[in-house]
Amino acid sequence: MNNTILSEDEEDVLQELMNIAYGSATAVIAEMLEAFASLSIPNIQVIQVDELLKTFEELKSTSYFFSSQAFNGEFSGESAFFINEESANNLAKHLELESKNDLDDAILELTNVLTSSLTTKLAQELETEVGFSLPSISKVPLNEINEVQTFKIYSKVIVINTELNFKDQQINGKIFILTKDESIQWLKIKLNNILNNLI
Amino acid sequence: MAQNKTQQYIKQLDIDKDILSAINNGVIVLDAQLQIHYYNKWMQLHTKLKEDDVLGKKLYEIFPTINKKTLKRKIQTAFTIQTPTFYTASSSHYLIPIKINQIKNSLFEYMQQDVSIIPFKQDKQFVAVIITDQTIMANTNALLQANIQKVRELNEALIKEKEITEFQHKQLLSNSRSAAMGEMISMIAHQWRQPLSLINTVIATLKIKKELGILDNKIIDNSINKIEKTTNFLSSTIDDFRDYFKPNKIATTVNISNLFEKSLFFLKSELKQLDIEYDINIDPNISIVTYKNELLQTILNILKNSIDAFKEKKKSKKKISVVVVNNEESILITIEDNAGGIRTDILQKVFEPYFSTKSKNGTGLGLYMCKTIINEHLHGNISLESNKNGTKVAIQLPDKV
Amino acid sequence: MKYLVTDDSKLSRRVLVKALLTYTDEAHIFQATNGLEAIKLTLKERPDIVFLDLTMPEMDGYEALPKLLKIKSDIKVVVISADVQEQAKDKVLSLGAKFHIAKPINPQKLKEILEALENE
Repeated sequence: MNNTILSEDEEDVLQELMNIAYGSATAVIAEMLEAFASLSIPNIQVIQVDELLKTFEELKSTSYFFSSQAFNGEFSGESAFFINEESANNLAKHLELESKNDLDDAILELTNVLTSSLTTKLAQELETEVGFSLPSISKVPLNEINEVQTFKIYSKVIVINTELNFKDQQINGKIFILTKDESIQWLKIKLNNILNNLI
Repeated sequence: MAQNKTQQYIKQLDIDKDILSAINNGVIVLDAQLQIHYYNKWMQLHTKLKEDDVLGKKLYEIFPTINKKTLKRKIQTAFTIQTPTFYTASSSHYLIPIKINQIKNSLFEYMQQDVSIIPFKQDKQFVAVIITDQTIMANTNALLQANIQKVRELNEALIKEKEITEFQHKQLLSNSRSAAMGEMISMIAHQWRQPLSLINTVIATLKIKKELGILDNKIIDNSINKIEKTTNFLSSTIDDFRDYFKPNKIATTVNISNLFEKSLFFLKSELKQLDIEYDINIDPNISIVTYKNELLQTILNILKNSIDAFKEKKKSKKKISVVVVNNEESILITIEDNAGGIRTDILQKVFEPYFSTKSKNGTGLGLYMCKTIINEHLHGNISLESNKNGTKVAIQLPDKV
Repeated sequence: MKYLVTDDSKLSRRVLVKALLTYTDEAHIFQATNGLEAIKLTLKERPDIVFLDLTMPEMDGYEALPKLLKIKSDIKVVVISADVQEQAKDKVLSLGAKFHIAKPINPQKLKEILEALENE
């Protein structure tokens, strides 16, 4: 029953791998935005999707841009990126964008870069490869977040919850990586391999 | 051996080339400076440009609508992260302007495109730009969005309308309650006129007798008795009215004959004052299970309408008659007057709220409330007929509500 | 030589300690889980080389770095971080760190750095 949940050691390894992957993803975005991000410690949890939706409800802003991107391979799942309207507008200002479509495109690019580099680096550390689908975007008023279909297919998820935080530009967002049971099993094996090799 | 390998390699290349030209996607190979190094068959057909027209040229020279800065950034990012970057039809619409030649169903002038920019792994020089036609999808999405919007708007309008109706109904109910209160007070006033004047007379007599010095204990006792009796009557009238104007919570067996007797109690002084004959002709055995006070209020209201009609018309033989017929599972009450009737052009409006034929003191709520009570509370029907002679109101009620 | 390993991740500390054991014995390696602990251990044990992570709870590497140098000015600080932004590297070097190494640690890279520090 509990075999899909990570042990403390496994969580520690994943946390460190995520740290590394997130660090490299942030560096790419920092270069793209010509800005400096303050890194925070990613928070890793294995939770039920209902709890995740509750977490979303706790996000205070009224309106979020929500974008997601699926990745496939031995390690498969979906990454979700939330950026509130204020941050999105600051991003638009920073990139000197002119239209709403340009902003959507920029958020998608941000999502893609973040997800791709995050997941690629993670996959690299896990010695596997992943492929990416086109990202998609929607603007979700928070009270409708329960209707975001994409979450419904995940019963249990590993949530890697971290902040993207460009202080000077006042751009911050939240990233969640959602994976299903099979991937969690696969991940467990890989994490244990790493653990055994290191000690 | 080596030759074999080369042949195999060339064969492989041919397959790739064949696939690339047969594939239903646009494929362009670009370098970081956006110079075109490959332009597949699909691209040539859709843009009506030959390979020779484009190879070696910059993509933005051929398609000036392309945002050079954004495309360069996406290519650079693809090199950096070594995974594809994208344009999506939903936010960017298209990269390469291709006019749509199918008119059918299209909301778009140009082909809607998903674009993947794929970095070549060997060196950081080239990217493959893969274009997928997403017009049909975009079209469907746009139609869906428009319809969702429409449904949402309609729904909002409906909710608003419902709120207004509910509010109006509540307003009407509260207005009609005050109207009923007014009616009650006017009925009490009619009832009290006579006993009050009686008390007045007794007191005046006492005063005179005292002045004349002929007031003895017997007269005083007598007068006190009279006043006491009258005030008791006054207070019992109030209790009666109060009882009958309180809505009933449960249905009880109501004897129709008794009910009309009761109505006489409330109206007799006014009927007498106006010299109206009240002819009640009801089988004393007819009873139904219903909400008594609600029914009484309705009947009083209708009778009051007839009385008021008589006030406005001079007539010699004024008469209100009531007939009750017992059918199977229901009864039919007919109340008829000879007060001259209602004009045919306004007849159909009498059950509408705020409609009144009375020249003064009409709230316009009486019959509307009667209809609401009969239909909604008592589950019956009310109808009204009128001719030059008078008006006839028919109420049909179930024997059990 | 005394070494101080500062990282909030148990795993990172384990990896680094294991690598260091090629050069020294356990008695000369100390471990801290955040900047504050690193300062306390530096006051007590006076290490020669400090490995310092940047993102840590309580006190991060940026804050701890100048404080460590104030306590012991000849201390050699090597930042080991997942933050590979150019600005992050520039910042720690300007604060007085000798090196900035990207995670995950490569044993060859570690060897080169230890040699360079010894030759200084």
